[in-house]
Amino acid sequence: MSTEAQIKSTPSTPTPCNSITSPAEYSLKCLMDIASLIETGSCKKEVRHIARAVRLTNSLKKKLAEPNLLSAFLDFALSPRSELHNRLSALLYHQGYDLEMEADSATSAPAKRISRELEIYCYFLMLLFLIDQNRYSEAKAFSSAAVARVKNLSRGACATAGVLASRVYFYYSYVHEILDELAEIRWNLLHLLTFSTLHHDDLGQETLLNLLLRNYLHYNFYDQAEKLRSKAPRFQSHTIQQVCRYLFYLGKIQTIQLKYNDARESLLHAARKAPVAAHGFRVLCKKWAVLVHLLLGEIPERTIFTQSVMERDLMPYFMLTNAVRTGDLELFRNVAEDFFPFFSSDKTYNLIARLRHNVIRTGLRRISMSYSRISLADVAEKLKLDSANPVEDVESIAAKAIRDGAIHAILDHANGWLVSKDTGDIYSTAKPLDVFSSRIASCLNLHNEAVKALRFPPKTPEDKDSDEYWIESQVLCEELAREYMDEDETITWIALCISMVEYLSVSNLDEKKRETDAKSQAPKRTLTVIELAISSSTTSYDLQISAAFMSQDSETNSNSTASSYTPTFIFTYESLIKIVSHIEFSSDVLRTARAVRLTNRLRKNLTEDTLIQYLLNLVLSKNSELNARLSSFLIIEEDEEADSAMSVCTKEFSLELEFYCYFLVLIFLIDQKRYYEAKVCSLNGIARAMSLNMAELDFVSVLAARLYFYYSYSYEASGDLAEIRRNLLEWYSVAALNHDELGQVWILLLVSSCDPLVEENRRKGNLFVFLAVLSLNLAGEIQGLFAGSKHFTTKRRCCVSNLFLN
Amino acid sequence: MDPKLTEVSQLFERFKAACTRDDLNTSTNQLSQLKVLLTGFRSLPPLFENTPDADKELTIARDVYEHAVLLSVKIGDQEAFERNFFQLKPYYTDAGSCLPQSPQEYMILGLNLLRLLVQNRIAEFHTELELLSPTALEDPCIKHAVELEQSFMEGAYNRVLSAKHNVPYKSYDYFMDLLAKTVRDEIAGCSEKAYDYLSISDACQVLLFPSENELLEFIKEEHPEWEIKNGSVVFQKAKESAPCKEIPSLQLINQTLSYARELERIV
Repeated sequence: MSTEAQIKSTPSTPTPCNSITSPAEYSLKCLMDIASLIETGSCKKEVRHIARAVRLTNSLKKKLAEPNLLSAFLDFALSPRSELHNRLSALLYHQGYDLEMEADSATSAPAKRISRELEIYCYFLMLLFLIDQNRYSEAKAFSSAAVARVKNLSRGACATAGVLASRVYFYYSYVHEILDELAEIRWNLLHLLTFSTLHHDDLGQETLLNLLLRNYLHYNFYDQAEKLRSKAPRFQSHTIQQVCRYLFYLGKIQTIQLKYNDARESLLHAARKAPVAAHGFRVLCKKWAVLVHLLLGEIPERTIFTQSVMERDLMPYFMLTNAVRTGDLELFRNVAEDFFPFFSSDKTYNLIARLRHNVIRTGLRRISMSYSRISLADVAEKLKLDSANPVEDVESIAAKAIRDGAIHAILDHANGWLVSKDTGDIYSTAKPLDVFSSRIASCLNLHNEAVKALRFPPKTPEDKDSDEYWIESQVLCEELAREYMDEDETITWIALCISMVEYLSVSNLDEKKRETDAKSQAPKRTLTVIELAISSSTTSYDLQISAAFMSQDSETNSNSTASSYTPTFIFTYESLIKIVSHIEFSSDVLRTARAVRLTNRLRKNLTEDTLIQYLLNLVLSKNSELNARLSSFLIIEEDEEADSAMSVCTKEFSLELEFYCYFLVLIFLIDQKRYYEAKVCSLNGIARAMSLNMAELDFVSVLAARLYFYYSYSYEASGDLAEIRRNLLEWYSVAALNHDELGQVWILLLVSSCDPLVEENRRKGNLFVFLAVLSLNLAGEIQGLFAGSKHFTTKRRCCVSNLFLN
Repeated sequence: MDPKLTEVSQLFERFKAACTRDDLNTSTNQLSQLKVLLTGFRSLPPLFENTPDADKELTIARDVYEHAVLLSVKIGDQEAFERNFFQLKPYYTDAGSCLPQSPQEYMILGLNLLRLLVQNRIAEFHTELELLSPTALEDPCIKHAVELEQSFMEGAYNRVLSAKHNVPYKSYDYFMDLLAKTVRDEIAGCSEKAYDYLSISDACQVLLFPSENELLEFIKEEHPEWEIKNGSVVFQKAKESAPCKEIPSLQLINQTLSYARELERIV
């Protein structure tokens, strides 16, 4: 067993083999491993580490009594002069060993900060030790102290500390049960139950509920137990032990309250689910199950009693079953009397008293099967009823049995006979069908439960490290994000984002060992998600803060990589890709408008030609005319590698994307103050827009409108505004023909605002503006067109009306 | 002595006297007064404060509630009985350690068992039974109730009725009478299934009626479906629910469909 334990405990911290010389040292080593396991669990918030620590401790239980083991461990785990250390070692004292010397020399280190989990673990270990040493009264006092400490825990520690706390509760109750003082702690347990319910400590609630049920049942308070049980929630349980206990207590309560069918189910499940090692528990379950079977009028199978491990324990119940089976009242009475002490220690005597009428029933059934007609006096004699007036008793007993369907007969009062009726052909009734269908149902039910109970291994941290895991979670988050985007539930969406940011940053801290480049991925990915989030709601202040935080993070991370690009470069690039995919995803005016807004936000980052070039290469096919044309505006050094890397196949790209590329290049050029190129580029773009038909233009109107604006802007910047008036008016007519309201408005604005000959064209402009307002109103009212960008248009409307006033 | 305690004990004496006089109105009024006065004592459940007169206060409170239970039996008010009993119960269970046992404890517990039996609350009957110690189970009052329950479950109704003649206390009569009524209904139910017919005189005997007229009255009111022919009661009609040969098609279809669904899930 010791080697096993070693194997179990090695994975977390490799044990140096050469240092192990004696079993005591080995045990100490194990305990230290367990302590480090707990530390890991507590800092990673992983419940399973702690659960494993508890399991390992149980296997070490026998060795705790070894001298010096515990004290050495306490020195290791706790800082030597802390209050807890003093108190715990005080309990160890009367073992007699020279603790002081060792402790003084070994621990001049400053006080350690120990986790709460480890602290509770020390309590738990000490409790185990005291109970094993049969020092119950000390254990009782100590357990109360431990429980008080557990109660003081703050909320955050509960998930991990809960596992240890539930063990402490258990031993707390156990010690009191040994000392027969269970009634005293009932109040405390109830308080603890409230406490753990408030802290959402499921395991604690489960354990405490079971302890309380045990407490009540110890004093036969079935009523209170049932009331508590029926009001407590049922848990999706974590530990099979607690489930078994719960089912057993439930079965007991149901038996007492005559719900035999339910009780049979509960006890059966409890016995089935109990681990093989829990011998006593299984025997107890079987005892009650046998009684319930008998009370239901069934005879339990003989194999239950012949299992070699339980044969001796179940012997009285076997005798009892025998008496019921033969319907022999006298035998039954003898068994009940002979084993009275046995049954009363099992607290089942009252149930056995209830069995009496089952015995009579069985006897009666045997008689009615054997005889077609028998006098009641003979029946009374055969049943051996001990009453003053047996014949009359038998008559009414038989009458009741007939009514309940136990026997198939009829009474002849005048002659004093019990006449059996022919048992009809059972296969002519629906009974076989019912029985058959109930069996099928239970088989199917069993199958379904088995399927439900299948467990899959949880994601291990190794999986988390792999890129696949990251990409998967990333994709999932983005999908979610998209879904939420479509709805207007910004609040849910923000919550989701925040939790994601938190999740990613936490996991980032955890994964210190990860490759640095992989590490820099996480914050960046988060950023893209946040960017999406911000685009959906500009008011989310929290998000912006976390975005700022994360971008800082990403910068520091990518600095450590050998990349030649700045983090902003990478970030911008990724964001742009995001936007592009956003546009491509669906041809929705709303989305396009959002993409434009998003791009504006990124504008200050668009500083490098290569960035745009990369994007164009990615979005448009490398050899396409459009790509060539747009690239000609950029100043690119020849990059062989990029050339070879790009695929040559021609890609299909949507109209929106094409215009977006125009738009992107345009704003880039304007920001770079390369107005000449900007003029040419915008002209190209607009010319392309003019060539579109009405339906096509509808998709890209938003982008086209931006092109008009920047076209005008680039001319304004170079001071040649007058040149374009003619062009603008021409385009206006095209836009009007195409029912492109947005285009019309924009062009009108541009015409009226930038025309230097304002005086002359005032009236004309006014007329245009008037027309524009009219058309806008029409559009708004009749079609509800641009429903999403309503405020967009209203903003323009304001501008328009301002102009009008001027 | 505490003046409050004196007041309560004086009132309690008067209440007891009224009870023995069978002056129900006065005693009911006095009982309500007593209950109000008892709320002033802090040593009583649920507070259980350790006041100097705790023992006396607990004892007198217990006596009051015991008499209250008995009074409710006299009035024949089962709900009041239940209320009073539940008020009394903590004195037996929780205060049992600090008080000498009441001489009336088993009698009242037995009464409560009987009440549960009459109201056909068998589950609660057994729950209560589990709370009793082995010595309590030996007590005649408790034993009486336990045996009654057994005979009742077996169907030995004669024994239930004969138990009426050897009740341990007079106060049991009220519930025994109620029980007799329940028993008769049970017998009637059993008889119509167990017998084809019964002669009228036999029916009187089986159904425990002293005269034929009462039997006929009973049949007319409770079981009009029984026929009276040639001086005997014929139960034929009640039994006519012979198994019908019809195939329960709808049920079959439902079952088959559900099997198909489940199988599909498996395969």
